[in-house]
Amino acid sequence: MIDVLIIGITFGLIYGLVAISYSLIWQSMNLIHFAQGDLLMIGGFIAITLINLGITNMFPVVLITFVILALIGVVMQNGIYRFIPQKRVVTRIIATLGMGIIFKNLAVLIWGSNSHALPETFFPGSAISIFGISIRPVYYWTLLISITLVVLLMLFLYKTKFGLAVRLTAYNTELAKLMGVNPLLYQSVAFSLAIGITGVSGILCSPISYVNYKMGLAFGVKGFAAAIIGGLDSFPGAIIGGIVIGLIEVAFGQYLSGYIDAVVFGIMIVVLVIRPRGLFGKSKAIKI
Amino acid sequence: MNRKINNLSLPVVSLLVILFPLLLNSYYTMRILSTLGIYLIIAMGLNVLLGFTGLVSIGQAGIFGISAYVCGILMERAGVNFWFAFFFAMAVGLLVGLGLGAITLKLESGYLAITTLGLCLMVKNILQNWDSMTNGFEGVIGIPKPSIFGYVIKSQKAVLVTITIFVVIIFWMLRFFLKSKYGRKLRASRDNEIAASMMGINVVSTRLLAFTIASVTAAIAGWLYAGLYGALFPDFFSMDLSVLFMCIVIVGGQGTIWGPIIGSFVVVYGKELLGSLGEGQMLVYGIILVLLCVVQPSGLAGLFEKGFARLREITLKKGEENAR
Repeated sequence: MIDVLIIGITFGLIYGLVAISYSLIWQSMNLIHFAQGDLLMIGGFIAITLINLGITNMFPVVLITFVILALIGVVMQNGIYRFIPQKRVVTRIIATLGMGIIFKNLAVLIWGSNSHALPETFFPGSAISIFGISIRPVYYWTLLISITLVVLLMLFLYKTKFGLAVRLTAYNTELAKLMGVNPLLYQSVAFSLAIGITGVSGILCSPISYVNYKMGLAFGVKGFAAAIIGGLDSFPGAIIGGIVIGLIEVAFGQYLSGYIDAVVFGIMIVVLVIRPRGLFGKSKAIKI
Repeated sequence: MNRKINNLSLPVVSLLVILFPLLLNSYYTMRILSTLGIYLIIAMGLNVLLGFTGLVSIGQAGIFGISAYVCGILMERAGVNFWFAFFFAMAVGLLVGLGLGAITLKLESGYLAITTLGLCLMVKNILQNWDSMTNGFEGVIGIPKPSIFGYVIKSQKAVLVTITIFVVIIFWMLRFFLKSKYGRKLRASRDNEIAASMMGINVVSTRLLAFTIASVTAAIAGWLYAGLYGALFPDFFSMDLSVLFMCIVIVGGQGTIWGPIIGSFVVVYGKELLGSLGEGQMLVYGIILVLLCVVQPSGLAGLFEKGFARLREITLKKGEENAR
């Protein structure tokens, strides 16, 4: 029972990290980035490649993956998305879907269509026991890494001048320009941070669930459901939304194993009906 | 004079389009064209949403799937007549359109995209797992072939002609709709929501209308698919199919009446050509899609329009010179 709970919370944290990346992109660029799940998969594969290259320590692998994914993010934003005008909502969304297709098939070409898994020894340390429950390193490292990322992100966004500029760009691009802030620069910073976080969440999920080219959709969409449940404009809400989804998944998993996706989306739609801004979102609705 | 010809030429062209399949002999071509016709019906409905309303739905394959399965199961198990099942398809389209639309259309446009994506995945999930009803991965097979006045629509040629007739009917209905005041309302609320609502247009209900039209056309396509193809498998109704429909609209040119027609030929035949590339085909498909979004967001119809405008400019100039 407790084991199941721990697994649920761990998966929930991973969904929460994906949800944060959605929310960061949404806040800074007003874009729902559908390729997020596929970038998570790329993150997992890069970590596996790094281990195969001989880097077995967790910290450099996480750091290098974060940097590589962030660079991919910079290239995507400056090579593709910035050329599509903000007004063309449909075209932008289709471009993100197209990027998802590209990453998925690149992964097949580079890493093949087999499933891979990170060795569990990748996470250092041994199982610790709290109140007689033993917790394996994968689980507590996921908790530690995701909380560290959230805290760092919030410190960066709310305590530094750079973060202020990112938030201003998100709030109003025109206003940012008037204040001498270059929106393109800060949008690509926010975007690459979000992509980096997604990549790290790809590492975290790979010892528990296998990494293969098809995994992106499930994680991407559940991450989005988490973002909706928590509220697209709240980072702590995103993490809580993720944990809610993770727990729902393990709770229903035993009885309705095939229907988990349907249940998760059902709950997402119910939340949209009752509280469109999410459980923790700001109550102010933006008028259309 | 000119206008009279225009008024006459479109029905004549439509008739020629319907009769055209009778000239075909290749089974392969007719098979591709039938699938193309089904896709085209969905894409034309989706174009009302993507192109004329500026909203995104990634759930067309889901609505297509629900309707196909509802009609297919009714025809196979309950012995419902093919033509009568049409009303069930309409009901499915209306229910999904109004239900999902009412929830999401009051919110920002991104929410519709993600909710419809959720619908698409949910439908596939349920179709795969609800063994007692949908027969899971084995699919619903042996749906009886429809007949009209005692003639059974069985040969590929008859199937293609039936689909073409529906393509033409739906094309005309959508064209009529888009040229009516409702079509203008759609475009007004796409171009500027605030200005449109100042003019007294109810933006939310206008969008709801567009979303319902898109889902009803997808449902009609599902009904045709179930009846004319006779076999349904859950894996067909995936998110990739939804992306394909969006691709057709984007490639052809969103917001133009002819766009989906051009797009469906380019995308369906293009995919056939890409098929020879083997493993890398989806990669090329993705790259082309993204490039198109960046370079030519108004699609091929936009390109042709630009070309025609340029041509007209040149001929006008020549005319002026001649007049001098």
